[in-house]
Amino acid sequence: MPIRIFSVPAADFQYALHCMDISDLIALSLCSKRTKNLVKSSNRKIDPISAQIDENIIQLKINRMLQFVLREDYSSIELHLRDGIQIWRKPGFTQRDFIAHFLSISRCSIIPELRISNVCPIPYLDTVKNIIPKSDTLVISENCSPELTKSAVLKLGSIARLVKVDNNPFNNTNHHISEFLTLNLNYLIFNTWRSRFNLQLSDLLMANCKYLTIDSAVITERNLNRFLKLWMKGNHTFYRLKMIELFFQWDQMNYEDVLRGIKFQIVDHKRRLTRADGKEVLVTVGLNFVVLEFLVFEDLRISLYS
Amino acid sequence: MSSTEQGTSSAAPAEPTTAPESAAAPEVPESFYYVHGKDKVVHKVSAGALQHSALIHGMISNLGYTEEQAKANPFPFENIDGDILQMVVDWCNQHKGKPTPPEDTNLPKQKEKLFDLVLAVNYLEIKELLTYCCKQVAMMVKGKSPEEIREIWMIPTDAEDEAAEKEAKKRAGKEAAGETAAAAGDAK
Repeated sequence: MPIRIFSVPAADFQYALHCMDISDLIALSLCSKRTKNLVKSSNRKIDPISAQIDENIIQLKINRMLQFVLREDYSSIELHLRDGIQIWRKPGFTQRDFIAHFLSISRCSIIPELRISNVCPIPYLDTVKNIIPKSDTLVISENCSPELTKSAVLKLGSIARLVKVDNNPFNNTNHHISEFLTLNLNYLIFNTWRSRFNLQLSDLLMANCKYLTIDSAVITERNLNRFLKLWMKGNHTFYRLKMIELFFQWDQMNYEDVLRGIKFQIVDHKRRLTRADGKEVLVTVGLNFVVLEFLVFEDLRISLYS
Repeated sequence: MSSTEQGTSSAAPAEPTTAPESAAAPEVPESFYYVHGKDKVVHKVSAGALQHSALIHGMISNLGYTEEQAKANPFPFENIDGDILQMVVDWCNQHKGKPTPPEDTNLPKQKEKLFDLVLAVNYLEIKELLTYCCKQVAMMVKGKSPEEIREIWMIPTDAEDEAAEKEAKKRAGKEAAGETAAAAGDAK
């Protein structure tokens, strides 16, 4: 027996919303614009969705128990619950509309995580780019092929704040790490200890991402020393790099070799290198890591006043 | 008023009980009040049971009725159907002087009456029962798809909402024009 829910006093309706499961709230939000606004204005928190691309399917996850699959018929989604699958239809809705709807009801402007799995066909990445407007972190899974990894970073790197590569696409391939370092990415992490990332001096000189972290990096002290010396002599007015973090699994760094022939001051266990134009880099050298923090004028001002 | 008095003997005694002599403090005899709904059927309810309703409790406190006066002047709730009021009275009697458990199974599960019950309980300001009713309303759509929810809760589509909004605007415009014309007529 139906009831006219909008005739229920507003406070009571709000209380009913408060008693509902999150999946039921999402279903309600898909009924009409009005119900969507009511769900948004309720004080229930709907966690943002994360997306995973598997084959040519986009899965949306709110939590482990609540997952959706965008269906190819473009106007329906599958709700995957513990006890089965439901199909929800929303005539006229595209896959992009569904994503926008989920972002809207969770009061988020970007998807926290977009994960590319191993079996995603490369051409499908273009569709993904069209459907997903922006993501905080793009994760390229461990078992993605080198070609898929490269294509995913090239095509989707620009929509993510942070690109995290969980495999090494440069092992036994014609690709080189510099292809990723020069993509103007914001934050790039190579996040695997399974194989080495060989770095040359030229790779560091060409790098134009803001933050770079490489686990299991391989670089000589001599190359790091030359990089720092070249940076000291340089006078780039615009330098995008803000931080390089290199971690070493097989080699141990000798800080004396890294800083040989370079004047520095010791500040809070870090070596501060100042070049002629006043720009500074803080160098931290441990046995199995090196961190370079490039300070721009604003950072210096903040550290002065703080 | 053709009233049929319905006692609530199961939960409240029909006649005030006399205090046993051995009791340390004399028991205050329970007072009763009378309410009726749209069907004019009068329900006799104890003051203890009526305390659940903030509205009726407020009315009793303000009026200071004696039992005779209360019998002669039942509280009229013309906007509440008789069977709904009966449900409310039964619930109040069952929960007289007791805190309401979070999952109340004593309330009838008739979904067709739920909407009217929510309105009545909201009007009578029975907070605990309202909470329970709202939970029941939420349970109606548990595990349902958007299409099913739309049917169960009679949610208009976007097109219907837009049409209704246009209609409301049109009506408001006409009313405003009418008022302006009337004001101009008055001025002349």
